[in-house]
Amino acid sequence: MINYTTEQLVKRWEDYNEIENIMGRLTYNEIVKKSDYIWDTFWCKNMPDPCLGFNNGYYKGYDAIGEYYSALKDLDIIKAKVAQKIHPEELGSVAPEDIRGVGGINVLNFTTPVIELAADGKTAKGMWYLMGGSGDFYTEEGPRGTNRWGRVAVDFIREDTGWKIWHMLVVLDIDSKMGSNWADTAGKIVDPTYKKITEFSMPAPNVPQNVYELYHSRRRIKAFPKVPRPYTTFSTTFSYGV
Amino acid sequence: MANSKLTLSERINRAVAATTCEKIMSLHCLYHAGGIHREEIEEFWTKREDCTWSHNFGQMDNKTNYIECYADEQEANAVQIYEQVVPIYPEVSKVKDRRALIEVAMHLLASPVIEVAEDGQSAKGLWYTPGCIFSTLNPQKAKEGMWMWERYGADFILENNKWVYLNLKVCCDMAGMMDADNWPFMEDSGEPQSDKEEDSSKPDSSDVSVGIPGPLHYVLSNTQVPQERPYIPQPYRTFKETYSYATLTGIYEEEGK
Amino acid sequence: MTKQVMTDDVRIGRVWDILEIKNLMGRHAYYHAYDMHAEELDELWVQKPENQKSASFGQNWGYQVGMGIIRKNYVDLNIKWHQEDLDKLCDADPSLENCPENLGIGSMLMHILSTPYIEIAGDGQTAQGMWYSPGQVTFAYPDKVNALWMYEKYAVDFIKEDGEWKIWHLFVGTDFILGVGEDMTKQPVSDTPVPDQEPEGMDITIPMQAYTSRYNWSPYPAIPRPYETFGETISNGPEGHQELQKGGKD
Repeated sequence: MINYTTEQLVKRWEDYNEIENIMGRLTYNEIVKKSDYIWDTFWCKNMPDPCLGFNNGYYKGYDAIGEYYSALKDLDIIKAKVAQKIHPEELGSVAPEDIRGVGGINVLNFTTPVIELAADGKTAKGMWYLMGGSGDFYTEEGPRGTNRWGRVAVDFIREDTGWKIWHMLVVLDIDSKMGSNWADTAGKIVDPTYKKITEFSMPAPNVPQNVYELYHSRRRIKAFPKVPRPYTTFSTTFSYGV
Repeated sequence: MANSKLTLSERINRAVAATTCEKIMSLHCLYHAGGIHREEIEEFWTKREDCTWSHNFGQMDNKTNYIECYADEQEANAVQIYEQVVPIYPEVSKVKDRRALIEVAMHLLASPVIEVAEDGQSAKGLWYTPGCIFSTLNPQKAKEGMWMWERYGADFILENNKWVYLNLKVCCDMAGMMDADNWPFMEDSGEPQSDKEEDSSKPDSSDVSVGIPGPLHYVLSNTQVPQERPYIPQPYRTFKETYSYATLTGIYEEEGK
Repeated sequence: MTKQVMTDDVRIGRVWDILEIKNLMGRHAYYHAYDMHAEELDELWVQKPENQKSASFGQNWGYQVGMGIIRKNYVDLNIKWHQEDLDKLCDADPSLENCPENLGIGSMLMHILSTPYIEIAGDGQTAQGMWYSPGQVTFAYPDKVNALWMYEKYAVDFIKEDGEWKIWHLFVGTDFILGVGEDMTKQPVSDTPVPDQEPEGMDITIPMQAYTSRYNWSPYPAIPRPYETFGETISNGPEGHQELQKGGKD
């Protein structure tokens, strides 16, 4: 156990507060569909290997992650156009970019934090339970509420402009319609009204992997991601990237 | 926010302030869940008259109005509920605090953003609350339950060396019967689900006595664009230089007021 | 005991105590989900014999007191249940291998911790915390998967051992359990209270109705208040329960 000086403890608290605030800001910027702002503001700029991981693989590198966030924006605009088609009187008079996110809300609730700052103060690791939920009028099925529960694990790096996300891993246990048993494997019923949304697909991870399985009745318990432990410097701990 | 202009003590004050404000927010949730509203106002709210509490349906824009709504009306409601429930479940006569019989409104907290002013005299916090409301013993002899997903924006001030609430803004995004199929889109969720135009003509569902009627925020609908409220706290120097969560939003923003 | 002077280093130390306790409870939540119960008891719970003797785990149906009983239930019984469930699954599905790696297959627990409220004692040696836990538990059976919402209140006493915070008394009060997609209004409400029953096979030191949401918000466990030393506050162990303090039920 390291005995920090008072000044060191104060600095470490300020770092902790900034890191916790980053995760909160992710929540609220996601709610207002600022995926480009999230990518510009909260992600690192100077590290060689940023990574964004999901159940089906990793987006590794600035280009791949940037494409991912750009695709989120593209999807929002497609949905806005679908909304305009369905509601021309209320929504038709503005550009789709101006009503990006119409009819939908995606809430990433971060809870149950375990945050460890490296002793050297240069990196940090955090893990949260994600209690996610979205309500979206414009999905391929039409209006749909979705539960997304899982874990989010992040490596943070301190850059000149403050703490930034370096590696982020989002693994879901549950991704299911609200009010439905997540063990129910029945497929989605696609509504042709929302054809443009069905036709869209996100770019695939450039490091495809079976990182983690959604819940199913034959899924083994897996202790993943690892819970952060106290550590001295990043080389002495594990990475949430790949 | 690291700030080399502040002394070590001042920086520690800010750390203590942030931790204290998080505690107060949790205490609000616990007290509200238990129905002990009057005690909450007494213990954790400013003694100033100009505090505010707002929801989609409107703002209680002063202390008197807030006490009237959050405590007086609630206590009257508790008496009514008790009188309806006790003939069916006589055991409730042993319940010490009948306010709990109304319901549990657990607006649990996630995703904090807490910023303490550089001058250490105020703080702002934003939380998401994927909350629930439930009740077991009811006049209709059936349980009740609903989900209610909201955003909480809080202004705190240091008053006589104690951190207290100045303003609390609640913005409800979606609500529905607990775990009903596709519950945010239920027709009768208790919150309006139709187009914004219908919403703007009257306050959201509530018959509480607001000082300033809303709507101040809109629940999810098929034409509702994302709403950036309550505003996300940013580092700030002093309260006068930042926005207040008492600021009217919703219909008043649209009218340019 | 002399009240501790709140110097700068004590004040920031207390802030860090709160962060460390949040981390401790976060680890509890993840270890529980990962079925790492033995590791959890070894790392996160009290280790000193005098504290292990008084350690407790309380739920609606009563208290387990002493680390021996807690380990017997939380570790050994948990493995036994997993094995029984796996035996049934394998009987129904011979393609499923009955091996240690499949213990817990098809089960999933997530007890999220939100709304943290933590009080550090004035003497810095103990702390009390309360959280609200929106959770879900899922179990696979031969003919179905039971997916349940489980919303609970956590009240925990912590004690510092050799400079590290440890869980000492843990109380989890379940407010409601709701099947996913179930209509809560259709859940039966008994005309008179029916006591909660501990799960089959669980060894309970003090069986009692320690918690109920029948009257909505339970005043027990008490919301922690600022306190100077542990003797001045209401324990989240059985000794703090108002009925036990009175010497039994009315």
